[in-house]
Amino acid sequence: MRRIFTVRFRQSGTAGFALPAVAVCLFAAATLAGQATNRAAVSPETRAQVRQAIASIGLISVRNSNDSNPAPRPRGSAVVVRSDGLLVTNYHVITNPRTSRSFDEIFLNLMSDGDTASSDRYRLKTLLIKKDYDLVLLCIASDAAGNLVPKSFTFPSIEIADSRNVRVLEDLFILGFPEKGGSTITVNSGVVEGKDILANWIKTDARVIHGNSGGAAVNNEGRLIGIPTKVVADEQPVDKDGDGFPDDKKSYGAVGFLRPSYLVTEMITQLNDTDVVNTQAPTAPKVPEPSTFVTVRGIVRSSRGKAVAGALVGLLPLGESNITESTLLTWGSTNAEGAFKLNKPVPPGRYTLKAKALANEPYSSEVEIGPGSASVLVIEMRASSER
Amino acid sequence: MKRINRITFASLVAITLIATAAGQARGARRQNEASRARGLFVSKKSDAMSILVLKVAEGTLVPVDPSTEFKAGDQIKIQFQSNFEGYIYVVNIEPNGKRKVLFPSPEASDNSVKPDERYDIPPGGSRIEFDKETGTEVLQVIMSRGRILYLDAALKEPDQYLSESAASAAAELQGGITKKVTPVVPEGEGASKVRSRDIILAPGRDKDTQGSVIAIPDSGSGGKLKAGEIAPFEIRLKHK
Repeated sequence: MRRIFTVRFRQSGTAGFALPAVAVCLFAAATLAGQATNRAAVSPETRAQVRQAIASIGLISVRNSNDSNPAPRPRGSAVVVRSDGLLVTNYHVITNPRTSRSFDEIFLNLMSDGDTASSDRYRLKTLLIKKDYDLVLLCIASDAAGNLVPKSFTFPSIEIADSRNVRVLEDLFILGFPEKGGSTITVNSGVVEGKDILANWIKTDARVIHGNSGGAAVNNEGRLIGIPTKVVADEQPVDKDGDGFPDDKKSYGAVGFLRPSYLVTEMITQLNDTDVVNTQAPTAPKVPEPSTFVTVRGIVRSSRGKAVAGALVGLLPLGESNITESTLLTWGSTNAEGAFKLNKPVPPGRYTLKAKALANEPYSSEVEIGPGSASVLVIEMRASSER
Repeated sequence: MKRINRITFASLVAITLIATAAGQARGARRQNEASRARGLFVSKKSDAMSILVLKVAEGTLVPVDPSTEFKAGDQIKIQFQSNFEGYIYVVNIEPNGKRKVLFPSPEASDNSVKPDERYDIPPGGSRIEFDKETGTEVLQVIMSRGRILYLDAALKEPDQYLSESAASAAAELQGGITKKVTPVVPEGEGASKVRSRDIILAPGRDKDTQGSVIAIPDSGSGGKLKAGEIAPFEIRLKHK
């Protein structure tokens, strides 16, 4: 069914126009207030630990062998994750978008204090690529002139936190070399706005712009929780001259997306286990590929066998009792026949199943989702009027 | 052998008589319930509401039985009236399972309902039109003394859909409302497409409200809703 308007087109349109303007004002005020709170809440210890992490952040620059300009051009950021010179960045940072191939030469500039443009430049070698996650592990192969770096040399490296423990509204700091920030480090702060566990993202309101890709998002202890990877902006068409056709765009803000740091840990483990060198898109043993995910459907009925319409059904990690946007993996609601289909496929495994419907007792159980194209669940809810 | 046959025949006659008497008693009880429900609505001895489904026919709105089969392009309007001051929510459960709050309207500054006032869904000159997606459309009607937070939250969502985001779905699954335990009451006669577990549903009897359904919470406390109680029921509209 859809609602149609047979009268009052103009009244409805005015209300629709006024609402976004109010929403934008509120958003701006809330953002400023939030930033002010963040700044006030940062302790001297946190500042010191975040500053310490700056030394492990580098600027990635690239060139192709047939480039007319001999100087490499800046492409993004990277973070050193091991003192022997192992580092991580985004795959798209080292990839030529026109050819979808890696650039011929990849360099890393490391600054001792991050404040000045003076830096040490190193040549990098690709070790492990995960295209699905847009992540790549590289190592420092030599200095810019091609001289090998002594094995005893220790690079400043960052400590990796377990990003699975990150919670919504926790503080974070973005460290990197955004294009608009020049050739020195740029740091800004924000909070964790949410997590998408299935798609492997951490969302943030911190500013993420061109050049931040591949850098670091760190927590209050200066430990790596994510890799700034993309930003999704809310841009709406605007009809400036009033001719009925949009001729401009207006931005209403953006959401930054970070790759969780536990993926980096998994890649390092894989590197250690298999001694992989320059592997193209290897498969990770622990994380199933999206093609093996299962679509979950089912039926909700009452103990008397009648269909329960409008019931909300969701899956959580096994044993999870706290239902939040971070822990709710997939969900859906039932139609008149009590049938539902959850909105996101999930990897096979054991989950906690929750269901709620008006006039029924809340439902909770453990379920096993087996491998296959689809899994069908039958949920029997007990009416709260039953005695 | 013969003796056994005579006993069996006598038993059959007795069972038939008992079943007939029970059927008549059930019919009489339903009629009594309908009369009682209408009386309680008018006298306001119980919290109650009257609902009417109207269909556009030749440019005018005419009352229709909720069991009418609707087709794509049909336009309807829902009218209701409550005899108590509180909150009424109407949620449309679409054939694909998506849920949309039809009432209250997001534009309304105050979504409480007042006694003896008539409310239209949608308001003003708007109508609800059946689109090409066939199936059963469920109108979930919820009577409450207080606000229902997760439904209020949906009024701020785009198109008033419930659980469109992980945050709103999690809030609904985690939160929820407590409800008074109430006995099951059979459906009222003539309201075959209306289902409830804890509400007396009876067809309207007034000549000017033909097709209306009266709903009264059967909470064991004189039909008066207490704080924290809700009384939901469904109207199922078949869409061919």
